[in-house]
Amino acid sequence: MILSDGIRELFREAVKHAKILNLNPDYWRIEVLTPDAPASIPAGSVKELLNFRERGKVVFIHTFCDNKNCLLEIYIDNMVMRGTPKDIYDLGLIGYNPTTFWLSTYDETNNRYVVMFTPIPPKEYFGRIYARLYAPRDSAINYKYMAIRYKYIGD
Amino acid sequence: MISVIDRAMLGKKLEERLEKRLEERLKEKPTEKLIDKLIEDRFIEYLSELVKQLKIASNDPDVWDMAVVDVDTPTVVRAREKLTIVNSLESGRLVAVAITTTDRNTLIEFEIDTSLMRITPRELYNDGLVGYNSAYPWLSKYDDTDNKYMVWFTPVPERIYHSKIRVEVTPTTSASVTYSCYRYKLKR
Repeated sequence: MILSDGIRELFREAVKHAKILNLNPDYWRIEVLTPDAPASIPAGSVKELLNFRERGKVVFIHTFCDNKNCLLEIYIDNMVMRGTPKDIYDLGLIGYNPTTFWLSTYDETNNRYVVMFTPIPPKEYFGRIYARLYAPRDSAINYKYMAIRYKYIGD
Repeated sequence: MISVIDRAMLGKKLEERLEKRLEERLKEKPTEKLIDKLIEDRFIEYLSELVKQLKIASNDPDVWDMAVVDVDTPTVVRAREKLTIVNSLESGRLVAVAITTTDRNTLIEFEIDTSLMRITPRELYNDGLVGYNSAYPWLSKYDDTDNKYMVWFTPVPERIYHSKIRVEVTPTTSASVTYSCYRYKLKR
């Protein structure tokens, strides 16, 4: 039997989706975002750490800042997470979890605050992702960040 | 020895026989085509299912809806009043549930298909479930001074359910509650 166009198309689809599932490099490229050096945000201002309209998977987002009232906002499709290191501390999210923000450092003596987002499995998104850091109204902040994601490069 | 006439007769018979077989074959052909079509349809059915299953595995939006319930503003729930966070007959995957309450004896029910977990922040604390685990509800906050209790359920891998999900909260005293629930709902 000669395979019909419909069957051939479905075979192609199946192979494509198996490759997507397996993070095949035909469909995914890993990208690392990291600024060259620590930078600062003026009081009351916002810094966009990343903003993409694409399909992808977040592996992790790591942010450091020197003010516990600096607000981190992450938007992934229709889900928004936002919180300051102080909020996260008050919720008791100290130490690893695979679902939401957590603090790896909360040091009020030296003003060192590190907020992590390390989803397991990597959090998929299909439309848009952005991450923003808002400095409090009364103080500029110094920050650093790093993010790793898989970017979908298929059709 | 075969005569010329016999040979002609034999040729004619052979010709007739071949013609008859050809007619029969032509009659059979529609049946063969039908069988081919049935096989092709079955192939398409299996392959479509394979593609669907692969899409399910990779959270493809063709087959999944992300359903978010997120109430950050504290809601006052009276004593013994039931607050429903989600109660749905559906197939899906539970990603995360987070609940804060000011009453440590708040009853939290997680009904997932045929399994039912009934817990309170106090029980979790007494069982030492403070800090993340991948399978059972856990506490990130247990503060008797400020009456602040935060319960999470963050299964890894995401908890698959096939027919029902229900998450409800019933405080024993009037309590201030915030909650969120993230899940993937399988499209019908």
